[in-house]
Amino acid sequence: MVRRDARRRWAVVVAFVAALCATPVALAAYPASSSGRDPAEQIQRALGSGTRAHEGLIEVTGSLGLPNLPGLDDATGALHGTSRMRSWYDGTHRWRVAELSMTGERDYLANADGLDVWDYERNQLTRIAGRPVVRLPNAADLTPPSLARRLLKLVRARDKVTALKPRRIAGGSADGLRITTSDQDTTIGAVDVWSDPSTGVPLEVDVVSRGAARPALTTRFLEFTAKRPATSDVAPRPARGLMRGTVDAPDLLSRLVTFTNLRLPDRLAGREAMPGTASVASIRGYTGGFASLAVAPLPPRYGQRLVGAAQEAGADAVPLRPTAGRGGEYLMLTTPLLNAMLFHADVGTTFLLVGAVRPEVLKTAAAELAS
Amino acid sequence: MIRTELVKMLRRPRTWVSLMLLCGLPGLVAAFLGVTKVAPPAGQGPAFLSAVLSNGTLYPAAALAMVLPLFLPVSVAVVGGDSVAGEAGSGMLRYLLLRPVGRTRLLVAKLAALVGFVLLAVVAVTLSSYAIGIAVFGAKPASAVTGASLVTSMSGTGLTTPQVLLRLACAMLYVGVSMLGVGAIALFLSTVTDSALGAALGALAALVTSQILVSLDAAAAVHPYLPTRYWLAWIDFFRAPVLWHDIQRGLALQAVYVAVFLAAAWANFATRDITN
Repeated sequence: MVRRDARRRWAVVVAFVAALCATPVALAAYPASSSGRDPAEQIQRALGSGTRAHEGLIEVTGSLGLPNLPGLDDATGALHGTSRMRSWYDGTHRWRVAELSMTGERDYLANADGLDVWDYERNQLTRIAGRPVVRLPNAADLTPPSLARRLLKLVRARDKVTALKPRRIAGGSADGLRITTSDQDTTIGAVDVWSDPSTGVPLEVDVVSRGAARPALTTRFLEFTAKRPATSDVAPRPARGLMRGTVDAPDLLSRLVTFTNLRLPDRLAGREAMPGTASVASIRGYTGGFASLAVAPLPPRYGQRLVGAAQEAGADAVPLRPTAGRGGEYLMLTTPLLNAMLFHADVGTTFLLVGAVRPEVLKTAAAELAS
Repeated sequence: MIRTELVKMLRRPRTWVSLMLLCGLPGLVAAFLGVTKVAPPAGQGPAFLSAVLSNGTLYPAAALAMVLPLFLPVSVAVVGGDSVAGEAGSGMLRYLLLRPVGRTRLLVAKLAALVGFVLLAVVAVTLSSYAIGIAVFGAKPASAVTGASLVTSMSGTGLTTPQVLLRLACAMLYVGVSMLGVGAIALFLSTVTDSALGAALGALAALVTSQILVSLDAAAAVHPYLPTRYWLAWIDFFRAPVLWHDIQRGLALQAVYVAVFLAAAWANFATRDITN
């Protein structure tokens, strides 16, 4: 009798646990509905969604594994591991992105006058005067809408665009598309974008490196609401009397502009320089669709620090001797998606070359810089 | 019966020693911080610890961050593991069950005593660290913050005294609820073995496993179901606006753990042969 009772009680418990375990599986299996829009229309709607107000919670997962490089940590930190952000978006020049951590928060608050950055751990509110022409990427660039629009602008006619099955993201259905890159120079194999059917706002972006099955970088909304955020959320009033500062250059890259006056070529590795002003001709992006790259000459002392950090991370110095002209030596930092090269030319200048391109492209660019 | 178990818990010297140890760690840290004025660098150390140097009102939050990872779960696991196994180990369980009470009622009473201990622990840590924080660091608004605001939220907005106290109370209750899952695991193991130490260690082993898996990206698929996954979500009470996403999930997850392990304890204990 006791044994039968015990069996009955355990059967109740097992059934209870089974029901609990089945709940998330059942929720995940809930079918997503498709809006029926073709990929080309989805791209147009995603690119035109910059005026759509929304708010939500975002999770970014990266597996790039870039080593810690002095001055670049803030830009590369989110590219490895999992991080979270909150976003309140009320137009191109009115938004707030809060980068969350277990010990604090860093908020980027954009308004018509520019950008404010609040750092809880440093207890500092910093106003960035004007809009820097060049800057390092920050958390706000990794929100699904921002990253998707940036990547979709790189799509070229020969890239293959296909529709994906709709999936449920942040509790709602999302239309999906895949861009399979055709340029063999880029390390990006495919970009998957899922968008909100009603507004076109991208809800998830997966960047898959060439030959890989899993994304190297994923950014997606965990919560998403297509509504205008409250003023107190998108532009909260800072506590009176906070430590405030104003800077012209928010990060290392924008500061380098003022420290270097070497003019870079208008064409490098077969790519045209992005249109820029004469004041930033020393730091240039070279556009080649997904196979774009950026080049910055570094001040000698900082260049040495970066080389030291790269060597600590295991990069070896390799001589680069083009058949004609002068050369130098380089250290290559490779990840599945992003490759970076520190090139010390014989003339004495150290360059940082970075892009989602094969190492051979960076070597070609370095050889041209050396000569 | 619940009252009896609560009184028994309160009369045990071990309860008060545990509470003293829990309150002692924040006191020790406050003494070092107060003397040296050296706060952890940005992004390091327990949350809020670098903020308390300018205002001690937030010290209970820093104290919760200190005791949450290890001290609090260890004490809860010890109390939970002792609930039934302690009675069996001392030979008292048979006599206890001779009273005209059902085993299910006894389990519920043991759980209530455990909840009582958890609440007592978080309240003791919060109140003692509040007093320590005010005494050591003062309660004047931070020099940078003026007007009605007392401290700065993580989002840079000002928090008034009532807002700070309300958020501290919410954080305290959330931490308390977060401990219930550990307690329920320990209580279940306590019905499986006659060794209180074995039950407590079993619950701690479950916690350590959970902590390791939470820090492992490869185990991301199971993160939402791990008992320690949302433990630190109480920090989100101090953002503007409050981020409810993880707090809601943390509360729901603890409710599930309590329900499952209490049910398992009931299934095991209700028909178990009591030999001691």
